[in-house]
Amino acid sequence: MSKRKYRVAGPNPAYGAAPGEVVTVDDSDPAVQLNIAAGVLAADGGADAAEKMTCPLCVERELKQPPKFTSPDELEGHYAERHPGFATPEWRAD
Amino acid sequence: MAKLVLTNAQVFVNSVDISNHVSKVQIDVQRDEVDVTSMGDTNKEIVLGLGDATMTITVFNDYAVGNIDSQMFALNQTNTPFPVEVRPVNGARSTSNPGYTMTALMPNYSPIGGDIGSAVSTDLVFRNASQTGLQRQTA
Repeated sequence: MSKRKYRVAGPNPAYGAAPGEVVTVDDSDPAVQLNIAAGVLAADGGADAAEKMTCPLCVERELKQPPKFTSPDELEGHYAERHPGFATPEWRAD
Repeated sequence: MAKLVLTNAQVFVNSVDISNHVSKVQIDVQRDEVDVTSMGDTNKEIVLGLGDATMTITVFNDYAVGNIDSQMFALNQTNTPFPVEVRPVNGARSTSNPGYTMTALMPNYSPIGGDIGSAVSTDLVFRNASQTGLQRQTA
């Protein structure tokens, strides 16, 4: 799941937002992709910066640049590699 | 709510509010009539079978970027079901303003049609594409 910010580009309200407003949607959803292809949603200036979660264990270990992950799968892979034996926390955007 | 004159229905197609282009809404739900009349019966007897649902939304088409035509053309070309919802009044769902929702596909689409001098109008026919069928939601 990859939630990103998009601007409602069409003249009609979409996803509960008025035209011109920014909404956060899961762009891996095929229904959302249809709206992106149709020009209903347009990439927002900050859309490239997908929501991320910082590894909490790396933060506790005071790493200077703790890694950040955009999906639960990425976080789980990191835990399996770097923190074996620890339960992977639920992914949640910072 | 009292009897309603339909002037401000709300229509969502794939999470986009297209109400300001809608001129007519029609929702039809049907169940098959299965004849189970047996020997010795004096009257025919039926039970209801498989269900089906169709939403027909008449819209004035709009070819601007991100508007009706670009959206509906994309929906017609896909085999990915998408949500459609109709409410009697443009407002939040409630017990007096139910939202009729359906996961749908759109097998047919007429992007252009009409006589000279008339507004381009087309019927969007959405067919049920999930086992949940048509749902009535009040919240």
